[in-house]
Amino acid sequence: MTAAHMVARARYVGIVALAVTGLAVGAAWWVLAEPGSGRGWILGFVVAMAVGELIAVDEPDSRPVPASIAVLGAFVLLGNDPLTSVAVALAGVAAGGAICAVAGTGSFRPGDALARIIAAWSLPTLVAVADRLPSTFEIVPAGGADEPFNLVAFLLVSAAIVLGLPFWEAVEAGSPQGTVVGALYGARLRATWLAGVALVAGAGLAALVHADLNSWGLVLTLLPLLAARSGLRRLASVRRTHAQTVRAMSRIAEFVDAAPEGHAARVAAVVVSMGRDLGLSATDIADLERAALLHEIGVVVAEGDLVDAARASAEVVREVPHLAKVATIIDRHRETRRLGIVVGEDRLPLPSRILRTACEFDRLIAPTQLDHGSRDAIHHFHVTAGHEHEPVLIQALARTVDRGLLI
Amino acid sequence: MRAERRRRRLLPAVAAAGLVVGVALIWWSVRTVDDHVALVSFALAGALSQFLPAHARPGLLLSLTNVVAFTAVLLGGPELAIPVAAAAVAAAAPSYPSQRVLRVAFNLGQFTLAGALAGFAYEAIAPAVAHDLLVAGQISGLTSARGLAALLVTGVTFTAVNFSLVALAVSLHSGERFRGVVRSMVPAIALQPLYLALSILAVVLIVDVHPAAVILLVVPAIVARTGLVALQREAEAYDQLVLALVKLIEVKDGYTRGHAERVALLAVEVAGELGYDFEARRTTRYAALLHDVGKIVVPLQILRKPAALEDHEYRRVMTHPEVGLDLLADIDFLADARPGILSHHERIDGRGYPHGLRGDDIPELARIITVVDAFDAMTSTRAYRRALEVDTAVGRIHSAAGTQFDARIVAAFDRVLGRLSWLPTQLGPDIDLTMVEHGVDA
Repeated sequence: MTAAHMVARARYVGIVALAVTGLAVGAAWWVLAEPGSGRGWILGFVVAMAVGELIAVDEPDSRPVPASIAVLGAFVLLGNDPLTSVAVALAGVAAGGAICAVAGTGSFRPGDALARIIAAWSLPTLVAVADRLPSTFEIVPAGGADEPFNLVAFLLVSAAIVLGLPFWEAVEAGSPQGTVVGALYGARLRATWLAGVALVAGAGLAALVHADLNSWGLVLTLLPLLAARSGLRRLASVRRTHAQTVRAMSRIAEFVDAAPEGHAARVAAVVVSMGRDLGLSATDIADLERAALLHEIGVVVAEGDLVDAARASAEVVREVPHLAKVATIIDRHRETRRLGIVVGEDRLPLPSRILRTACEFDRLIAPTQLDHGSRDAIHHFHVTAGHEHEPVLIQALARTVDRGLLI
Repeated sequence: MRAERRRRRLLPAVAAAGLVVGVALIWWSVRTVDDHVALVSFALAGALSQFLPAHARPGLLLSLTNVVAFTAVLLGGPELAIPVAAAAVAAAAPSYPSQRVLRVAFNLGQFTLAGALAGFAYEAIAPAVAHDLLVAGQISGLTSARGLAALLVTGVTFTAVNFSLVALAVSLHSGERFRGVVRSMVPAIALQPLYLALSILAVVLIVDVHPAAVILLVVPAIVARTGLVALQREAEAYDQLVLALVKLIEVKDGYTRGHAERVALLAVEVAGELGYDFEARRTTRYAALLHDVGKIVVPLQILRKPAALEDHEYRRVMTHPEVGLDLLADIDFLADARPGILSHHERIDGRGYPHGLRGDDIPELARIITVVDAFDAMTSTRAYRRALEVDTAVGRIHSAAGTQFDARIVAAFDRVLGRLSWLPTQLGPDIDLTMVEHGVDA
């Protein structure tokens, strides 16, 4: 059994266990709760939670954010206690997760259930804290709600959701590779805050109209979320298409046998790692990665030496306005004359030098029997071409190899 | 021709009628409304909503204006809906690209009329509900059977008046059939229930909570808009990337510049003629743009050879559809375009390549590209021959219909060529005839 199979089986077992637990908790609560204590509308929330699990709000650079968070937020804002909230969250997540698993859609993972339960347990506490404050910030909907809508509670819950979503993602993404969670958090927050804001607005809306519209309110409040979702989802898909197309274009040099198989993709992986090592900014690294992917597409028309190919590639890339910086990196990455000799403003920019070293490394190592991720490869490179490359770049390359990222 | 001139002369008359109706309704509403704060705030909201719209895709605009208008109908009837409509039209005026006066006059009429009629319908069906909402601030009536019926009729009236009048004007202006115009509006019409639902939420928030709580509705709308605006930018960037790739092939191929773009343009027109929807036309465009992408592996000296190709050279050229397919294999978005790229050198009689498919076994998308590609190739100058006249090229395509080309596609292509040259003044910014003509005569 492969690792992938084991993960799939663990996932399946997790979802089944979750579904059983969720249904059991929900059923027990239904039996224990007194009839007439709002069982009906609480069931409505469970259904809405389940639907929310199915309609995740895609964000371009992160995992989709489930709309069930908005439903849970609304439930908590209506003044429900932690235990009931956990029961609703568990039942809703179990139903939604089971549907996701059976239908093979959505992005639900068993681990997500834990995040919902933590939220369902802790968010009511924030509401309770806010309730102890003077009631200046309370709004009583004219429709006659049991609980007034507490503005402070809403703000606290909103902050917790918007700031908590990326935290959970960072913990999840950070743990397996041992990467620092803090470093990931900022990036995740930038990626999810927009979806988070849409979700908390939905939560506030659902809580406010609940007294008037009952179950209708939940259905209606999912609508603006669906609108936000459609906008973000399509953005995410265009970004993905863009990246896939750049990858496809990166294989052109291989197609005409002008580069070793997988050359551009490997160089891209090396430059990203070297760029991080040398402290480049995230945007510079993204440009560098694209430059690495597209640095040889010009061979198709150049059919001459690699300096001409670099020029031709840069010319093609320059046709695309938003890739102007990428074109500059490519254009100069083959210039050897001034490298490392003239120090000062005339020197080649760092991204071009990184690309040059990474590209040479791959071209030298690929035809040999050496493994790209081995120290021998670095040694071989150092011995053969070391004099043409700056020590600082070779060291960064060596550390990249040490990290074992290039296989 | 005469019919067209007569039709176009009708436009100013329709616009003048719109202006008269609009001004009359505004005059009536300003005299009738007693809550002037509501009037001003709703008019402001209507105007502001015009600054928030975003294109979900070309031709489908998402805007909150109708939400504001519906809310005004529910809260204040026709007299409150009219100022919203008028303010929205006034705010939109600077963004009209041409014929500003005509458009403002016409839109003022149709939009205020839609708001007024929807308002009268609402008050006629559910006077008690409207009264409760307005006087006692009671929402419950809205969810009663009568309230729901009133909501339904309000939405239908507003949408019917708004869209049928706009479709009428578009049809007068462009000469397209009324039903065709309405059909192209279906996606926009499908959004109206969503707008109506949002307006119910807005009513609840305004009446029961606080007018400021409407911000909770505006925030998701802004998020959606942010996504859509970024989407538009990304989509443009993506197009530029694809065009750079296309140009790379053309430079190598030694084709007249713009071959792929002209093929794409004509292929999309043919697809439209065959009734393809938006997504299918977009697929057609990308398949046509990238149909020759596989030629990147064919050596320069073969592609630019000024004489007939040797057998082995021709075999090399014949690999390009499959190479193209392979190169683009990992781009999910192009999944539907791939059959068009793979089979654009197949022939109806089965003598094409790479698979020798026959008749309907060849994907329709490929059959479209085949015809358009051949036409543009014949009418462009190549290394080995000069360009043919359009009529000669069309003649050759006709004589090969049924053997090399699909006769049905050739017929559609004829209609497209006819349309492009017979109605040159009707072409919008998307269809640039000069480009087609230059290509044809090059």
